[in-house]
Amino acid sequence: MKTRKPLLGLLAYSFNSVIGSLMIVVLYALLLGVLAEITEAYFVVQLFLFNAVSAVPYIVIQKSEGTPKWESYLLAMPIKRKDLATILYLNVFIASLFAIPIMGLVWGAGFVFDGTVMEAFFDGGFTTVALAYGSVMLFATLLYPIASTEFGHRNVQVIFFGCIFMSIGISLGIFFGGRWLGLSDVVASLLTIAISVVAFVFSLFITRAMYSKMDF
Amino acid sequence: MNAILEVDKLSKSYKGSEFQLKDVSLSIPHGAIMGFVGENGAGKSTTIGCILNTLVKDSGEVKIFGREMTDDSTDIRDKIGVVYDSNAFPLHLTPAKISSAMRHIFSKWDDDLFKKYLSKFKLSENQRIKGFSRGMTMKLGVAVALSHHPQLLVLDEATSGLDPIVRDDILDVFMDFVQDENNSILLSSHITSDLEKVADYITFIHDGSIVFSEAKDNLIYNYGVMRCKASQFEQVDKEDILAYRKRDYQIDVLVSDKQTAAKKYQGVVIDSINIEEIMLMLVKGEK
Repeated sequence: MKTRKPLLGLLAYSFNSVIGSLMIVVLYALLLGVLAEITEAYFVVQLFLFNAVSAVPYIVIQKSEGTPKWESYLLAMPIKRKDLATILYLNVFIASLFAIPIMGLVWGAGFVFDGTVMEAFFDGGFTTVALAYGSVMLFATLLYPIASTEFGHRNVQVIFFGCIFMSIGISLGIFFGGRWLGLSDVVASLLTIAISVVAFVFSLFITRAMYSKMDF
Repeated sequence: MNAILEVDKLSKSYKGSEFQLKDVSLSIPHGAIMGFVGENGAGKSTTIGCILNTLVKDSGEVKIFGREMTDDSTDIRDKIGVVYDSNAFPLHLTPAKISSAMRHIFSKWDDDLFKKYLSKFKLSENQRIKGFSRGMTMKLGVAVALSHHPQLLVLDEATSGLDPIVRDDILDVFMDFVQDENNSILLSSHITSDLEKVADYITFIHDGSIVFSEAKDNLIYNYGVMRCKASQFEQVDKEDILAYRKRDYQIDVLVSDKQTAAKKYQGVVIDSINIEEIMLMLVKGEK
C-alpha cells in the first residue's frame, strides 16, 4: 500500500485546471497584444498587462466554483477540511505564477515587432502588474471567506463578480493611498503587493477555520 | 465487529429551516446492501452527508469499521467509495486527468481497474466530462468509487434518472461488489424496484425520522395488507394496525405479520405488499 499524498492529488487537479485555461488566456492576451501594437495606445498596453496577470486565476477560480458538488465529493475522500481550504489558495497562487511566462512571451513578441509600445511599459507597467497581482490576491482573500458563509454559499455567482470589482477597487485604493502619503509609484506598487499578500495569508487561516465547521 | 456502518441517534438541523434529522439509527452488516428509501426531503442526503462528514452533525454517533468518523479519519474515508445523484466532477476534466489526481488521494488507487471499468462502461479516457451524458457521468462516478478497492460504497440516488439498461448495468456491478463479504453498500434510492432487486435490508426514513429498518425478506414475506369492509375494520385489534387507508368500498390495513393476521381475522382477504406500497401506506395512511 503506497502512502497517500492528497495535497499532491489536489495540486494535480489544479495543474490540469490551469493548463486547461491557458489556451483561451493566451489567445485573449495575444489579441490585446496585437491591438496594443496597432493602436500604440498606452491604455490597451495596460489592459493587456492587467489581463495577462489576472485572467488565469479568475478562470481557475470560476471553474472550481462552477461544480458545486466537487468540494463535497472531495470531502467524502481521504481529504481534511483544512487541506481543502488550503488548496483553494494554492490554486490561485499557482495560477498567478502561470501568468508570468504568458505575459513575458507576448510582451517579448511585441518587443521584437515594435519597441515603442514596450517603452510605454517601463513608464507605468510595473504599477499595472502590481495592481493586477494585488487585485487577484485580494479577490481570493475576499471570495473564499464570504463564499463560506451561508449567504455566500447560496449566491456564489453574485459574490464572484462583486469580489472582482471590490478587489480591483481596494488595490487601487492602496496604491493611490500610498501615492497620497507621498510614496513613489514603485514603492506604492510594492506596498499594494505586500498588503495583498498579507491579507491573502490571513484570509487562508480564516477560511480554514470556517471550513472546519461548514456544511458542504 | 458485526456492522461495517453504525449510525446511532444522529441528529442534524439547519439554520432557517424547519427540517430536522431526529435520532436516526441504522446499521449495515458486512456483505450486505442496505436500501435507504424516503420521499424527497425526508432526510436521506442529510443522513449520508453526516455519515461522510460533509455535513456537521448536531449530535449522535457515526461509526465506520468500528471507529467514530471525524474529519481526521482519512484512513476510514480511504476505504469508502461515494457516488452522488449528479455529476460531481469539474466539467473540464477527463477520466484520465481524474485518475492522475486520485492516484495521490487514495492509497489503493488502481489505474488498471479504473481502465477496466471505463472499458466495461464504454467511456473514453480522454473525453471531457462536459460531453458526457447523465448515464455516462454516473458510470464514471461508479468507476471512480470502485477503483480504489473500497469496503463500503455510499450511493446517494446513484441510479435515479437513468434508463433501465444503464441502471441494470450499474446494479450488476453493485451485486458483484458485495460478493466479497467484507464489502457493504448503503444505497439511497427512490426506485423501490431497484432496492427489491438488490437490497438485503431496507431503511425507510420519513420527515427526518426512521420509520423502519428491517430485512427486505421480512418486509416482503411477512408484511401484508388486509382488505377490510367497514364492519371488519371495527373488529381489528388496534395493536395489529400499522396504518390504514380508506378506499371507496374498503379499508386497507397494513399489518406486519400476514400469517398471524390470516389466522386471527378469518374471512378477511390479505394480500402481499411490495416496498413501495408499504411506504405509501405508512406515509399517506392513518394510524
